[in-house]
Amino acid sequence: MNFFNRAIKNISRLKSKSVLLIFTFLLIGNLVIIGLGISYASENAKKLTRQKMKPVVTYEVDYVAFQDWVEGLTPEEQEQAWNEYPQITKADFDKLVDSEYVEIVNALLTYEAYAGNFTPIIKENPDDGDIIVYEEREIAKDEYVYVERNIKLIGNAYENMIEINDGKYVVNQGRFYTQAEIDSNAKVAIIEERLAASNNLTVGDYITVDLIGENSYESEYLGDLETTIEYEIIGIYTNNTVLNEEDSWMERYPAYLPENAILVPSTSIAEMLVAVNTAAWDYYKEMWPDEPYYQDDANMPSEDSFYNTFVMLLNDPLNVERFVEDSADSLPRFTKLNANDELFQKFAKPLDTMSLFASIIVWIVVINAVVIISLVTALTMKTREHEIGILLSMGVSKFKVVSQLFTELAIVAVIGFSLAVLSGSMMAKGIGQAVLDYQLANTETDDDYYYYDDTYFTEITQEDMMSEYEVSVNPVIIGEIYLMGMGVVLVSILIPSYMIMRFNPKKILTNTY
Amino acid sequence: MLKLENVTYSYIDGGNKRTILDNINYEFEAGKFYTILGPSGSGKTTLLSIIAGLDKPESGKVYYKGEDIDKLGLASYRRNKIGIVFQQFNLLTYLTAVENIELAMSETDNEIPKNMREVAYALLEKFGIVKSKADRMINKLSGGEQQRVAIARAIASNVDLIFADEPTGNLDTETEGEIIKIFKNLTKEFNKTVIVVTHSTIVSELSDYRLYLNNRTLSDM
Repeated sequence: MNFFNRAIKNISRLKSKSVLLIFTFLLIGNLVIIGLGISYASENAKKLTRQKMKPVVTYEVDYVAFQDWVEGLTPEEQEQAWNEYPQITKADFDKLVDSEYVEIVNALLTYEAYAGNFTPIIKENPDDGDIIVYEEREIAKDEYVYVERNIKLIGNAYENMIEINDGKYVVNQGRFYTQAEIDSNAKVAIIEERLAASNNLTVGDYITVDLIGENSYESEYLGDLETTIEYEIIGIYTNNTVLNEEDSWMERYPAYLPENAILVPSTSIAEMLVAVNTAAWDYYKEMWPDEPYYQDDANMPSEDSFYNTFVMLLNDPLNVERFVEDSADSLPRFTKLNANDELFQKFAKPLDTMSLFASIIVWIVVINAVVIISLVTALTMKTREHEIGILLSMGVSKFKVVSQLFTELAIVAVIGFSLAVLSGSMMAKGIGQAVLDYQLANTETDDDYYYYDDTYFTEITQEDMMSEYEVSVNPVIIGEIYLMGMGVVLVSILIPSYMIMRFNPKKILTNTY
Repeated sequence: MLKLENVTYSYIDGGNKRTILDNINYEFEAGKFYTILGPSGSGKTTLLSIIAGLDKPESGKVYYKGEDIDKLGLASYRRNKIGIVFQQFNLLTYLTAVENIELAMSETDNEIPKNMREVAYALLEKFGIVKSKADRMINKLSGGEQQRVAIARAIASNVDLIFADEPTGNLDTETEGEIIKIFKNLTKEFNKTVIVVTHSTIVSELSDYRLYLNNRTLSDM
């Protein structure tokens, strides 16, 4: 008769004790299941919502942090601080990109320019007023004329684009540019199919683009500097961007039309912009020799400073938080990674509060369970001291004695927890929903406007998130409760067993310890 | 068979050290029936506990067939070399009589027949416990029957040394006689060495050797 048989006989023949223990485990199990159910549902709702969001992270200046810092400075220091406004550099961004989580990268240099040897698309009947093609206005001197820019160059420093991955841009003919072409400042372009059709352009043709308008004020310092770039068309793409109602004003500006967006290597624009801005630098340095800004070569234009959008598409929405956390320490001061978290965290607040309370309840119950079960076991063990003494006097090993006691309690616990899984799953659903409703009704709402850039981020609402909240007892919870239960049983057996079995059998049998 | 060498035992009582066994030396022969007598509080039960491996002496050694029982491992010694019969029977109350016998059989490392249940029934029957009673829970048996079960359990694990501590202390005179016969028979029929601690002169008169424990020393009577 091994310890397992003895345990079975003990449970089946001492029924009232077994029923009492089963009932205790049933009560504890119900509380833990409800707590874990709510906690899991909250986390799951966040996880499912996060999974629906595009795993996009942007790299930005942390304006709020900078503003807070500046406010704490003296007026003189503040002036100095604003002169040194934090700048995002491509060099810093490149370090972030070097991560296992990052899949596609946009380091964009976007520049509005002028069509050269081709005609840009112009919306014939814009919904929102007249077409703005040429707008003349005075700048500094009467003889200079401002001409509205009519195309947009979108340059990426990486050989793929998030928009291509999303299907927003589809390359129909030819190909996209390569990293080698980016690195060698190649003058290659992919133009929109409607622009190509209206100008009879095809792969292999050349187009010219002017970065600076004729007779513009910039001509004052440009001298003979050539600002026209000739691009070879290597691909034709469809731009699936649709201007919605809110953006209808853009139809008046040809440069904002999706048809006039030309995809080029960022370096092809940056190279020219450095030349133009260096000419301006030299011009103003000479004009204002006492201005300290122009005396400091560190302020000279560099390719890095023309990039305006830094976006990373990660391999999994669930890696977003980890990536942001992992990268936080390496970010330069007053810069941040934005994963559209502000909105997400705001919506998740009621779930977080519930999850926190549910976790606290679970821990309180577990700690109490250890104490209660240990006390019940200790009391039960007191009545079984004599039995333990008998077994030890027969030479039964302490391990087998503990194994028998553990098996008895474990079987009882499994029965109690199994009943708790049935009853707890019924209760958890109702209680979980009631707690969420209460939490939503009592969570302070504010009217702060949360900006998010829908170019890359996915729009989410609190309703979306709450619709994912569903309390159910899943296999993980069942596994956890059994595991937790076995842990409680083990602890509550080991402590009283040790208290008794540290003495020799004679002392246990004669109760003289 | 069993040798005591300079066995000394003392305990602290009210802050004072009280020695109850002092340098006891004795050798028990195989296949004999020993009784240990002595006044109350003389240390008979303590001596039995030490030679049964239930307690340890303060100093000195106990040898079983030349081996130090401490080195054998006291639990192993109790499991494989000896059987103990207590005054209070000390049977597991949530088991039947036959299950108590099976328990001893299953725990020992000694060779035990595979048909344990049948062997247990047969053993109990030898001690007057028929099958219908063998299947009863322990507390449904009389005191005499429980002691018979306890004796059967003591020899069930195929050991050759049986200890008993006041085995008839809770029994009436008639039953006491029957139990003593069983013990006597253990030496003859089963070739066991039996060492019984008792106050009973009836028991001691039937033994091969009578030992007397008094003033911390053990002597032949």
